[in-house]
Amino acid sequence: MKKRVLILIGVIFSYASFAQESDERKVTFKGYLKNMGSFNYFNDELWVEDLTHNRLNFAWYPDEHFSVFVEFRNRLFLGDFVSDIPNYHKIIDSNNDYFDLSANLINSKSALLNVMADRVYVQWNKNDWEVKLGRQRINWGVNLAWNPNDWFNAYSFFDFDYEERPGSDALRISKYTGVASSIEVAAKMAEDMDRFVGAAMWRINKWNYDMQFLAGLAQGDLALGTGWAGNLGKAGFKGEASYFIPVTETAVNQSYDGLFLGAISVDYSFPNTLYLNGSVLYNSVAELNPSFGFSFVGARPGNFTVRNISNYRWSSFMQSSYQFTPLFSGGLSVIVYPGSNAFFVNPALTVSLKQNFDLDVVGQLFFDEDPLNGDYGSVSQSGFVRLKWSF
Amino acid sequence: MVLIGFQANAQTAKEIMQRVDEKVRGTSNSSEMKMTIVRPDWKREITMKGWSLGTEYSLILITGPARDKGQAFLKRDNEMWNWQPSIDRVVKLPPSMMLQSWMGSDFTNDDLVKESSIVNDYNHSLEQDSVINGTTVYKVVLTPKPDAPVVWGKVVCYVDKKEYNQLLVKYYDEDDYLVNTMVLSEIKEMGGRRIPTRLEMIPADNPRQRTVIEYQNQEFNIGLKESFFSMQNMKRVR
Repeated sequence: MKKRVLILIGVIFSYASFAQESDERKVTFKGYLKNMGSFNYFNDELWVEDLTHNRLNFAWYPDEHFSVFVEFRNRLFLGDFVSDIPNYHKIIDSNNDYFDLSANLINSKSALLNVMADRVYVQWNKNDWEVKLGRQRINWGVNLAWNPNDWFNAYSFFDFDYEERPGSDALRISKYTGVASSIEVAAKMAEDMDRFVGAAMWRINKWNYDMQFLAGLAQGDLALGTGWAGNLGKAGFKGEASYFIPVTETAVNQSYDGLFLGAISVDYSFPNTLYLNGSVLYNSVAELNPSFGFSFVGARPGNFTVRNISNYRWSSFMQSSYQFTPLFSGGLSVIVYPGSNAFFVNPALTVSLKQNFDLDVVGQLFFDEDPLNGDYGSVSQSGFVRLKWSF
Repeated sequence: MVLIGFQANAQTAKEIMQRVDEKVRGTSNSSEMKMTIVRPDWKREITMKGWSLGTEYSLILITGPARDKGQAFLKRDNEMWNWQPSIDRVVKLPPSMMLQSWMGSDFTNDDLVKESSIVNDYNHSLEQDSVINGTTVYKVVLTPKPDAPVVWGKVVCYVDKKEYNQLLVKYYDEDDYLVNTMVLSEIKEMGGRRIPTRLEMIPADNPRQRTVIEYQNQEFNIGLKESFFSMQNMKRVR
């Protein structure tokens, strides 16, 4: 049934986009095709995976007030994870959503094809009002690396291949109260309090600062938050904080009476294209030096929440990037966890091979004490080579 | 007498730049353009639509390449934001970003969103007339005012005496070295005005590279209001 619904949505939209190709303002279509080889070394073993990843974004603008957006994410996995990790198909097929719009069309010992719709929503605008209903991304975060205000659909910084990040099945009503100010109210559909999030955000612009204030109920917690984006001299200065107080016990809040998450960041870009970003995250209930600190990496797409963006009490992030030529840029991100010996190194190179063809080479290296034998070293090393064709 | 003569001269230079500025910008304008980054062995194209009102407000929508399509940039006074529709996020850009290269080209962000004004941010002086491709031109030297948001030590503009079009602009750094040369050509009627429709920016240290902007369409004095340049509209323009 689910597969049929997904295929039907796809057929309708491909038909609509071909049928109306002459009138390009009514229907738009874009996307990409990526192929990524990943080489992961942990537990003294090399795990190789090949991921073909296709994205199809359809937008339909029937009139000036209404628009409809449907976006598909199709992934074909081949390699060691598919064949050797039990239930890998379940991990790939799991998500945070009310409606299950994800299906494994091929699920064999050697190949796994997952198709999901991660955006399916209608949007209505009139004057200062905007209403969005359906699966959408509600992105209330401000910082680059860590977003304590991302209550609806948190993502892991380590999951770099999912640029669009997950959506939420939700209703969102926004009223723009000025050129850079608004009030938004959003509620995420859920069967129980474990997953329900309902919140409001008031956003204003004053003294060259964007400021936001949030309140709501998030997965059983009374949640309060604030964030800002402004400047210190020529540098960007951003921050966001959230406080969660359990009011009903749920799957996510059993371990605390109150959880404070705060992150600030400063960024600067030099005329020669060197860009620097530094950020610090504080999680009041996390341990300074948890064992299995990195264990959440990519392993829990089904129940990842903003509370899990770092398992360490202190996390600090530094990123530098530089454009060597307009075709070739490089970056290095480092995350250090003060109070522990763990750290993360993430070099990345991007080459534009042709118009619309990009090549990325990315490394992710995790260093920590081995939780089993106490030896210090690299607990996991991964390398990724990705070719992307955008259309 | 000398003092009065000098002042009259300075006034004229500023007036020339005011006419130039008014002609290419109008009170408000909209445009569609193609930017091509040219290097000896490759090219990359970026297409965009732009709207502006004075030097205070501007909005740019990227329409190509596919990877960046749909992204928008909004500038209001000295604040600038970037809308990334794929992740539903408005990112506030640090002021230092203004002097950085626009998407890898030889133009800066400031060149595109025009935070600095060739009228208000500079002192102007007129030098002896010159000739470019048979056209007699004013030579106006622009020296930035102390707090102006510009990187240049000096800018020299060559302005067609009849049509008040800039034909050549030379950008110098604070040590008086030539950094960039902009050549303006393909003067055509667009939006009811005869204006250069091709701008070529050539870095002095590497004359084999350049960035070309070609205007496909421009309209002037289209009655845009300040409220057009809003977060809401940044997300909605197509």
